[in-house]
Amino acid sequence: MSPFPKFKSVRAAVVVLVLACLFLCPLIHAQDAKDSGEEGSRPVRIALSAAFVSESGMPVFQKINDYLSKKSGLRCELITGLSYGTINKMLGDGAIDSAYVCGLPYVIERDKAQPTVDLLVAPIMKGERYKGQPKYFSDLIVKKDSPVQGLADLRGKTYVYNEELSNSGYNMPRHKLVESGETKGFFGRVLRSGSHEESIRMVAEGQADASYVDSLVLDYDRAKGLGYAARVRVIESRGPAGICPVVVSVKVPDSVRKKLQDAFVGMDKDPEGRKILDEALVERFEVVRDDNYDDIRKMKKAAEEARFSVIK
Amino acid sequence: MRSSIRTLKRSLMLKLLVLLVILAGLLFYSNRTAISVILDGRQATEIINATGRQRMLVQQFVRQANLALVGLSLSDWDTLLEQRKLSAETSAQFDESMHALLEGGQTRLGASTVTLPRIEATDIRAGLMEISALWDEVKRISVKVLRSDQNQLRDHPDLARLQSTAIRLVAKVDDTLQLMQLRELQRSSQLIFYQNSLLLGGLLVFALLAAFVYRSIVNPLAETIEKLDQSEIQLRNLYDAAPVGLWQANLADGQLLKTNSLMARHLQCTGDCDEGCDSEKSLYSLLPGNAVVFKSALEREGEVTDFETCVPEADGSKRTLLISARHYPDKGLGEGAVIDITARKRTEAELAAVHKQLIQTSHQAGMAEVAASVLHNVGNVLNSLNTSSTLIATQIQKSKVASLPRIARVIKDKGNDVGEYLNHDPKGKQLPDFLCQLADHLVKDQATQLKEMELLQENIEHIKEIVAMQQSYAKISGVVETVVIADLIEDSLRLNLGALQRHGVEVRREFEEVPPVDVEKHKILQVLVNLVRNAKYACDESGRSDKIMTIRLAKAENRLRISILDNGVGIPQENMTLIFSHGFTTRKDGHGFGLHSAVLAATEMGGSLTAQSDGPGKGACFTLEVPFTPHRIPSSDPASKACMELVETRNHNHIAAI
Repeated sequence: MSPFPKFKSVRAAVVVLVLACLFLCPLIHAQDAKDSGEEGSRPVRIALSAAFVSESGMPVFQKINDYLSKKSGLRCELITGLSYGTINKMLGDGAIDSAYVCGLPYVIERDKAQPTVDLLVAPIMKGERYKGQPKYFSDLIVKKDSPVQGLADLRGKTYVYNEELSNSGYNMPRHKLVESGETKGFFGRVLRSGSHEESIRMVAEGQADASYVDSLVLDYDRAKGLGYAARVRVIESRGPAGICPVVVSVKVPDSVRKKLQDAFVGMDKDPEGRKILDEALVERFEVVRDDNYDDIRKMKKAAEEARFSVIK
Repeated sequence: MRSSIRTLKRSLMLKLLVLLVILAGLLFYSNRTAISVILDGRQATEIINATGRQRMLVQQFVRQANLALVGLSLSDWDTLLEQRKLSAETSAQFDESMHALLEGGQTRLGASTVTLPRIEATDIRAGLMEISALWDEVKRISVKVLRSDQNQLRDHPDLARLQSTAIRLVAKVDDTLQLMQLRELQRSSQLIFYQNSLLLGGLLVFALLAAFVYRSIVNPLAETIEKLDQSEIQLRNLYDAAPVGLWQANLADGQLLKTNSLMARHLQCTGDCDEGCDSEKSLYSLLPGNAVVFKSALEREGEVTDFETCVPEADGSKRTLLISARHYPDKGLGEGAVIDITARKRTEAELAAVHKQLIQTSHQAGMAEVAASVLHNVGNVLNSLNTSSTLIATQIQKSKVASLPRIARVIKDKGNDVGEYLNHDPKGKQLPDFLCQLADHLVKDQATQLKEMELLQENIEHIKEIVAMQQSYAKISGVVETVVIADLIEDSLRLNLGALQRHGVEVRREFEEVPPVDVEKHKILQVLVNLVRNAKYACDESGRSDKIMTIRLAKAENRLRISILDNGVGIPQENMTLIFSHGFTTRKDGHGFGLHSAVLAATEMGGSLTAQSDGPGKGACFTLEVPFTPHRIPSSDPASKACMELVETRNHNHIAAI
């Protein structure tokens, strides 16, 4: 016995089908709406990692978030204060939909057998040294009155990094040590700070002798006079390397990612968006290709090949 | 008295005002302080509550952070995100309250929003700064821990740091709260102190006020009442002893309500009229026949001064009273004074008689001057008269008329032989020639005598005119007449004409056109005759050949000015103040009365007589000034027109003569 009802005529079957469609369409639409962060559904969660800006600079990214909500029609929620690893996991689990992440966590997640994220956009910074490219730098900082002139002077000294998954704070200096053949133990002590902002503070207050920090964070804090940025000096910059991208979970529907991407990319052409970008020292957001991050991949691979995963 | 009462009142009010201002100031200050303390207390309570809320927020934050870490460790992302979000909100609330506590501003406190002041107390502020620093550390550790990966959470060193720092933070908040409560307690004590001070201050001010009232009001009031009593007695005495009769009366019927003793005497009362005079005595009894006039004048004008009334006395004499009064229409009363001027009237009458006599004496003295002048002129004319009569007598004595009888006898004696005698006798032949010569002599003598007789007759006429003029001035003493001043000047010159001609004094006239005026003619003439004669003497005594006397007539505003200038001997400076004195003269035959009587006459006319000289040999100028009272005659009066025409003609002639 068939579980489906038998219709006496084709005409009746068509009527039932139409009614069923009329009944089911709103449900389907509601499901779409839930996924897209529209009213009544979970908001689109966008995590901001410490790769982009310090805790003090969060308000300008809240403005970007508000702008995105307004322009995309999505209800976007900005989430901060989580580690790169946690953000990656949450992206993988679909607990968050999008994130401003560091290049290295993107590469890690993207290069998995089952990628959890896709590139959405990447910022082009206003600074001259960025030359209008989706690239950034890793700046080696020391205390302003420190006698250290270069990495060589830091032998045996205390080095602080933000996170192990940070490209600028960990991958790039690690690659430098690999290049320099200093894989047997260069620093006297290595500390984890949790963020570039905390690394800057620890160097400025003498709790550490040096740190490689994200140029985006340092430039922003210096320009806005935030935190301890004025109390440190840059003795070396590494890069350029693929800039921290905005990624989107692979679980996010195309319609949502499209709306987000359009809102990001259109910001610099809209006076309101332009004003926010100027405040954030960002020239524009643009869609970038995955190969923009090949330099990071190479540095990561070099360390792996040198079996030098932990800075010491 | 009224002004001193006003001053006293003003002084009292001023003092009272000062005290009230002090009291108000004290109350205001105390109130303001109390309000300030209350407001401070309220703010302190808000600060304590806000600080207490910080304690709660710290605990809440740590709890939320821990729960977020639990979510992180268990991959319970919803919990992680929710608690992370809540902790961020809690952190924002803490930061907002911290900022309000340190810098002042608004913060939430329960359901309401309060505005906190900037805390200035150093110890509390230091505690808050320490709380702020610990809070920053708690936040930093929290962020750091939350940024850890799951695998790092186990035995994470910052977890213990987070807990210990949070405990230190809470303890610090507790310490600061205790300090705040201590300060609040002290503030409450201050409030009690202020309340007590207010009470004490109020009592003090009340005591001051009482002392002030006793010293400045009660005491002076008693003294003032006493002084008022004395003053009233003095006033009563003064009132009674006043040299004038004072009264207060009902104006309708004249009934006297109050009089002083002199008034009572005027009324011939027997008793004191303090409580109202004898009802039979009325003010109007002092106004026989003119009470109605007095009353109506008083009611109309509100005030009457120097109303003169005559009251018949029992002995038939009359008393003259002068009544002054003021009307008070709202009370229907009149008040005033009565002065008995009977004696004054009598004195005035006597004075008038003396004055009249003086005027007469002066007139007589003046007339004596004129008369002397007249006599002088008459004497001069009599000299001429004498000369003429002597000449006539001499001529008559020397006349050849005595030869005629002898010739007549010769002709008679010859009878019929007269022809023979005339033709043949040598003597007879000379007789016709002798008769012709005699006839010529007699005709000549007759002519001479006729001429002398005419001169004699002229001089007699001159004397007659002078006497007639003197008579005309003598009989019009004290009478104001309308005269043409130029004519009067001419008369004075005419009275001295002989002397002026004899001594060769040239008279110059500088007369302005002056209309007829009303003056005492004889007085002006008296002065002018005197001045002309003095000028003539001065010119004569100078011995100069060009003797000039100038007479000027001018009108200055409401004065008429006649100046007589001479180029004679002048007046030494030392004599300038003496020349008008009685008996002063520089002439041998002078009696020193002329200028004295002249100045008296000028004064009587309301004018003046002044002298001016630049010194000996430089002549002198005497100026008579009299009030200018132009004669006003209706233009229709033909006599006045004639008079005006005459004046104009004469003035014109005078000007022409000048």
